[in-house]
Amino acid sequence: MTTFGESQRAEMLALIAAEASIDPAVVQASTTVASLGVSSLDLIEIIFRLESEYGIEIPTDGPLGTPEVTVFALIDHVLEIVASKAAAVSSDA
Amino acid sequence: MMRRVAITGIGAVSSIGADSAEHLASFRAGRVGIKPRIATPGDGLRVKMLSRVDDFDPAAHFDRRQLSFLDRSSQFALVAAREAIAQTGGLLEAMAPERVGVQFSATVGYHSIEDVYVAASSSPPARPHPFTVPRGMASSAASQISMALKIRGPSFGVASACSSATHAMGLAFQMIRGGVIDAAVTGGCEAPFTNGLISSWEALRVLSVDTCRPFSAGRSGLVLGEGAGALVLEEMEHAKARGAKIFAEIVGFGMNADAADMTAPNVQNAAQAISAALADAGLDAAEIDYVSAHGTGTLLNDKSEAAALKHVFGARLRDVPVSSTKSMHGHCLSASGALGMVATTLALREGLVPPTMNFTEADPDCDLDCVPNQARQKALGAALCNSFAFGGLNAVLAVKAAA
Repeated sequence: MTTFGESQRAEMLALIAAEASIDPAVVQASTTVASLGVSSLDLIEIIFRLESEYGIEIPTDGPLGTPEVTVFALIDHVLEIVASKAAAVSSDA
Repeated sequence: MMRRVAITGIGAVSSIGADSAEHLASFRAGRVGIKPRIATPGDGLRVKMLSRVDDFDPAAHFDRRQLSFLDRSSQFALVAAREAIAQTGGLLEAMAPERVGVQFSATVGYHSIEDVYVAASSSPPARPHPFTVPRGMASSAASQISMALKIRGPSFGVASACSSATHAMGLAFQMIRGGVIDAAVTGGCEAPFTNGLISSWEALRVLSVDTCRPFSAGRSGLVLGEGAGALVLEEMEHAKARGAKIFAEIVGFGMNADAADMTAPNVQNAAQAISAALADAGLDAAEIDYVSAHGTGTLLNDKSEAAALKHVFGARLRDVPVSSTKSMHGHCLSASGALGMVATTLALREGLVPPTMNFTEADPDCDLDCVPNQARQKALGAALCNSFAFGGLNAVLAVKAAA
């Protein structure tokens, strides 16, 4: 992962942590979104914020349909979408 | 002796039929009205499937002057209400108009509202249609029905999101039973296919990526639908005295609120609403032969509804057919309870259990007989019709076959 990706990863974690009112340091590999007290509705708002922040569209039929997803899986998924958007933009250019 | 409430007329419009006879044929054949959305360039929408009322020609039903006052939702409401009244064989000629009421879903005229916002935000702003207010207001359908049918008793719209029609029908039932009125035209309507509202549903992330498959493994959400359902309810002795054809009898109504989550349903409260309808009807769960489920096709609703039914029916649940006609006509929101009651009434009258279509594979979290993919002939004595709305507003009707 590039440094750019790493900084985005930290940003996303901070955004999620702020929404869930937790310290980002408590998030581990196995930590699910639900275990942070985030309901399915809260998750929809987090997704909405991530979409707005990065100018992306996160499809409904991905792995983020349930708060049982892990925080890291959520971030990986969003990073992938951000990266593929960046690739599409640079190939257009 | 408690006054009893007969159903003496039904009407319906949705993607699976222009009237109740076509709905019966569709329930029998398992016809699915859900179709790919027709995209318009630049609409920005992602949803793939909708359940539209195709071939609906407003000019075939209304004159031009009347149409100026009718949002698409009220057009559906009037068509369904007229059909239901026509089936009564002369109720309105046999009753003082102030003894009849209209209780209908309070449905926003979304098309009228969207039109005016598009006009207002264009540059330079276009003028709104002069009847935007009376078209868009949520009591419009109730008013239009009362005006068209010259009904002068208590009339109003009832709002509880996807339980609206069921609350409206339940109130009409209680008002007739309690002697406030002797008959009612009741039900619900919805016409939600505007870009603004469809995109809002997309944002809520509950729409299916393929089709509506309630209680099935692999279900991915609901499919939006449009249409209307209407019932005529009539005090039983009045109906009998004039020799009316009685379709079925409403015998109980249960309702409550979750007081918890805006979208996630609550098993315990749903079960309590079902039990309240049974208690109001003086029925035991063992006497119920069919349940018309809310069955939206979302992961959460179907799982919770199955658990609530399990709570009420216990081990017997496996022997009670539970189906969702939303698999055919989609989720018609404020109209959904009315279409559910049209299905329930037809099921009792015809001894026909409507199927749950698009079923692929059993979901262990929905351990019930959802009548997968094929209607069944079965004599039915009593049935329940469930509605569980966003915001935790639950409404359940209990219905008996005509004696």
